[in-house]
Amino acid sequence: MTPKFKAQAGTFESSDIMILIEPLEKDSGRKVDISSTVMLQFEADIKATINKVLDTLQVKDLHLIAKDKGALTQTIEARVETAVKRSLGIQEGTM
Amino acid sequence: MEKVVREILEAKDNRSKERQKLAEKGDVSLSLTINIPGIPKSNDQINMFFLDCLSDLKRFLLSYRIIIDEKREITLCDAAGDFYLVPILSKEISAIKIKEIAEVYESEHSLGRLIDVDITDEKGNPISSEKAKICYFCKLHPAVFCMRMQTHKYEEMRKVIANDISYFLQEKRKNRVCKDLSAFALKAILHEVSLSPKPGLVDRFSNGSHSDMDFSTFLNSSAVLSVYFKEIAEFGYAYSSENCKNALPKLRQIGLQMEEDMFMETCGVNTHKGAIFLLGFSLFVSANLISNQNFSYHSFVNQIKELNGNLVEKELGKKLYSNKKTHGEECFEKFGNKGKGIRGEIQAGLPCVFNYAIPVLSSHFDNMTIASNELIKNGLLQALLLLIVHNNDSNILYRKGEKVLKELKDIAQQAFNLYETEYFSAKYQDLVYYCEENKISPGGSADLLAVTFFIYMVNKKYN
Repeated sequence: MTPKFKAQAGTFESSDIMILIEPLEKDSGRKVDISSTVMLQFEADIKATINKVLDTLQVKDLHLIAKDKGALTQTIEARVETAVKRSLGIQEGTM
Repeated sequence: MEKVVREILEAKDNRSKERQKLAEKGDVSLSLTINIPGIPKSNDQINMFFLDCLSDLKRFLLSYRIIIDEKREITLCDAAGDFYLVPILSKEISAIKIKEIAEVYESEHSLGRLIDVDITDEKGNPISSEKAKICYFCKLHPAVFCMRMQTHKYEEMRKVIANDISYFLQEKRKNRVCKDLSAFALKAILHEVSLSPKPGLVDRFSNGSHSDMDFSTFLNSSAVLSVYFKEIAEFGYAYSSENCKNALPKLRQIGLQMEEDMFMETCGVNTHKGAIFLLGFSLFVSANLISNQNFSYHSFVNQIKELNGNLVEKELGKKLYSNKKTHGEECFEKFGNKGKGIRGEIQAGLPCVFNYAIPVLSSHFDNMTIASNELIKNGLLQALLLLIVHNNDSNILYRKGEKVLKELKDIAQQAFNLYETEYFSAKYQDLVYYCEENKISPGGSADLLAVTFFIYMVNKKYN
């Protein structure tokens, strides 16, 4: 699946993560940028979690920006899933 | 996704929206949250801690002249825990500066690591300190590290936090109680001396039967004694020995120091020796009972009896000072049971106070919301009369003998009987004249009046 819209999920509250998604043209691949205000040493960890969700949802082409405020894995998964669904136009609402 | 995680994330979305709403109006905003690992994020204890931090934080902000718009504040408790959000009115202070000041608040608070004060600027961006906070539990790694690595078990962390908050709240309560008790004790002696006119006693307008002291002497003496009240209350609050009698030496030490300070202040005149004795015990016992959540008139009487035991036999029977006899000792020698004085009264559990004076104060003050001169005067005056009627004041007995004590009691009883009739003020005036003429000063009853008022105030707030 390929994201059609710009979308975001998450917040800058502590222990949360902000996920921003920008659509890319077909076959341009995934581009995942991570910034953490708290700690960069978990970058690989966060990236793996994000990619796992993207794999599950079968999303190939997108630009994803993550701004981490110390979120746990469950939170990252939930926020990425919501952002992707919004970018696909299949989920409205707050999440 | 687990329901509780979804609820927490929804709560965070909601908080973020509220911040954005304020940013859209061009406001910098400040929030307060408590960092609690695991769930639930709040409970009664955490909420109490949160509210305490909130009022503390508001004072703190005001002290730094950061003005918040309390009319638009939000306080809520949801799946993510307790949350407070308020826009800042002070436009001249930058969001970064406010963040720095908020960090001072966190660092000065003894449990500051549990407290998050976050600032969002007028564009809706969080202001980050860029500092990694250290883990509350191991104090070795940054908190985020331990959180992500799940280094510590939620259960264990929550246990430590619950203990720390509990200790913090207990200390707060102790402080509140001891301040209250000190204020009650000072109020008690000030209102006693201010009650006017009084028979034979120093009051606002007369020195009564005294030539060596006046109203000012009492005010000065009250001031020097007041600084010890909190010390006694704190001692009582923290005291936890099985046998409360072990507290006596320390209590006596404070009491003797108070007497020395009093005599120094009054140039050797005894204004408050009886009050020091009675209030000292009462402060100790009240604080101790309140700390055990067990204050009542009944428990007070029991503990004051236990604390003093057979005071009369122990102290009046033997000489405390080798070079002189105290008036109390001489009086007991001369009049026996009737001359047991204040020691006898205390040993019996203050019957004059509890059987006579407290019910009078209750009838006057129980429904009182704002204390006025008139209300206080009426209640204390009636209580004083009843105390004079029932108290075998060893001071009067020692100086004037049994006949005078009996006459004084009779006139006081007559005045009491006429209370609220048109004849009262004339009869009360007779009592005042009688004392002045005979140079009688019912100081023992005045001390009992002060301690009655003290115990009444403690009971009203803490029972």
